[in-house]
Amino acid sequence: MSSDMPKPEELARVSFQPPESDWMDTPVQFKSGTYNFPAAKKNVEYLKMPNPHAWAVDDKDWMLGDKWKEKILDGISDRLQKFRSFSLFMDICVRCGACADKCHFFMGSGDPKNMPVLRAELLRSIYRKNFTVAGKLLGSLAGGRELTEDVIKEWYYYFYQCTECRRCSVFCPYGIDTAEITMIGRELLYELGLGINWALEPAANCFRTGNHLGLQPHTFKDNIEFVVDELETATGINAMPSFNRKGAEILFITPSADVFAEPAIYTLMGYLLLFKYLDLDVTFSSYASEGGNFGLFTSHDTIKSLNAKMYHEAERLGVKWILGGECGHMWRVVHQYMDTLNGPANHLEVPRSPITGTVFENTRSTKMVHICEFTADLIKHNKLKLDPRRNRKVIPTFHDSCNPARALGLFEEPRYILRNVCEQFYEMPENTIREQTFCCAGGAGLGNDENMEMRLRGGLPRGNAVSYVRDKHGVNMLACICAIDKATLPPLVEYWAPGVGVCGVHELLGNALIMPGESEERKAGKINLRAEEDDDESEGGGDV
Amino acid sequence: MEEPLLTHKRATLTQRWTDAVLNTYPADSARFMRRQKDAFANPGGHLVRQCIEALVDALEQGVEVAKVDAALEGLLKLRALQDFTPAQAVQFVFIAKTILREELSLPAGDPSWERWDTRIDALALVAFDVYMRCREKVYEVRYNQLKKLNHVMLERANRPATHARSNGSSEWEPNDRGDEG
Repeated sequence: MSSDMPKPEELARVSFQPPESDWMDTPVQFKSGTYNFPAAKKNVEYLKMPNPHAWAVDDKDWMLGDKWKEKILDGISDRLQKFRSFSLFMDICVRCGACADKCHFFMGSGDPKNMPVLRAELLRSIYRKNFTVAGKLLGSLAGGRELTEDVIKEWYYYFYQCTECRRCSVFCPYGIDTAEITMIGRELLYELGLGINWALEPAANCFRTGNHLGLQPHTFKDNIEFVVDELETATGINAMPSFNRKGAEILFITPSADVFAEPAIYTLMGYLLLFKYLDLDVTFSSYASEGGNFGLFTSHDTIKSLNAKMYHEAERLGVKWILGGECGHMWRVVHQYMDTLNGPANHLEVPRSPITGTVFENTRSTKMVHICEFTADLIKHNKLKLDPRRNRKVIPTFHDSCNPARALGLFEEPRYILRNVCEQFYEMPENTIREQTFCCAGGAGLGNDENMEMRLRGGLPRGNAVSYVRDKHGVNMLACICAIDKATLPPLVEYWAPGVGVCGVHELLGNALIMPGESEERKAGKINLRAEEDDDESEGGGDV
Repeated sequence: MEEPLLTHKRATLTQRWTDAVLNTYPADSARFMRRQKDAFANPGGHLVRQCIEALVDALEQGVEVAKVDAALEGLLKLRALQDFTPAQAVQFVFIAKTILREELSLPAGDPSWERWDTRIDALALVAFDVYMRCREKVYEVRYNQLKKLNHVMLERANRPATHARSNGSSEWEPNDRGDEG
């Protein structure tokens, strides 16, 4: 052994305690797996956003362009005048700390800059320095700081480490909506051409072809036909919908992931069976082919355009109202932004269920009904024949998807459906569900592959609650009502709660629905929508 | 009678060891992780406490690999994801040596030191295994995610598809149509 080799005692004395430094003086470090790749230049160009350029996060020079400081400060000034909420949020925070430990990224990373209050301070410090008298005079003593390129890099790291889930805002005594601060922070970054690709490419694709993958109308239709074929194999039923049918009573809009991604396609199968069962006068549009409003991760202008697209299509087809699928951010936009941005949808009628006669008064302005409200109403009126035994192997819990929960207040309807289509149902602990639900950590454009380690960090609180009910009650399925959840929860549970699957609420409804003309196998509950065969008659607990 | 010696110091050892782990986080974060006791409001702090309790058990009662492995996995699953180097992630196991030396008033040559050190070394070896397993799992999750994204499109193109299911199984299966493209 060499003489300079440290002894065990010496090794044990090495301190790994992080040095104490103020957050303003702690520079951001980009570690592979914990940040998002920049938006491709073509997507920035397509969206006609400023300073399109090719750059990489590990480049020293991010090529912010001429007069970049002025652009940021003008951008802040412009938005302070435009959005009263933003102006309030910059001034009103008393740093009480109520939000500090409520963020899933804070819990999973242990990084103080993921405390919502500190994330907002990243922007507030620049606001104070440049827009308040105290900040101009006293600088850091008044919580202000200089705008530098390092600040921009820090913004990029942390404003793309917020999924805009709004859990923190539930706890804020002043009602500060940190998601809106993140949204403004991102808009300011766009002024310099600093977007992330997983937010801007879907937005660009939605502009171009109507859905986030950029599927052209015929391909979108073709994909649904493929799902219809698969559904027929599993059930013996042909549930082909109509497309772009003028004069239909209802236009159905769902996230496009439902037509091409697992496990979302099984949710689509559930919708299709339901529509067939009811003989509903409904049509799909191959143009307004995306429910998800990717503008919510991009800019207010993009939110407005993408939302308007759905309503223009409804007008073109002459439908009475819109039925919306299991989506997240579509519902935040419809419920909280649409009226301000595009005004009430006066060209449509107040939705009324043709089956039960229920008038959905809550949608008087938007004319758009959530499929879970629609289905829960059907079950309440005994309009569906259901056999929960067909889901006997499924022991679900329900993940409240952030936007339907906190933005739409949709808590009970999905649970009501689940209790009617499954033999068992267990809730996760109270402080992890309903308005306190934990995010999947992949929303708001962060659900990409390169950011996986950050997603898994942020997935800790949700995964922790899922593994608890798995161990306590044998829960083996995490049901949810958001396409992003269906894409991002599978890796989360694979890491944090192995043995638990992910599905949509309408997938389980589709399994339980007793359809006229269905196959004998299905009647006996021996095959589910995933075409998984099951000859075992035993109760619960098996693979699903 | 060596065991009661540790039993006597158990609460102090547990507290100091837990604090040592929490102190590897920035002070602003450690404060919250220390204060909030609810397992769902503070899953990180909960995992730390749960793991250290189990490790103290192992020091007292001897190292049962399966038990220790499960306890370490709870915490290292998180630390393997965080901004730690591998050494920083598992270093908290060795801290027990320092704490024991400060807390147990035994002379340096006392034969019981060998027993404590051996047990701590055993915990450290298990920690290395668990840490690596967690890192491998991260990459596996990422890899499965990529396969899954392409699954439906591959199936549509009649290519041999990866039947990655949402329950996380990841075995390769030939296309069941038999026309491998």
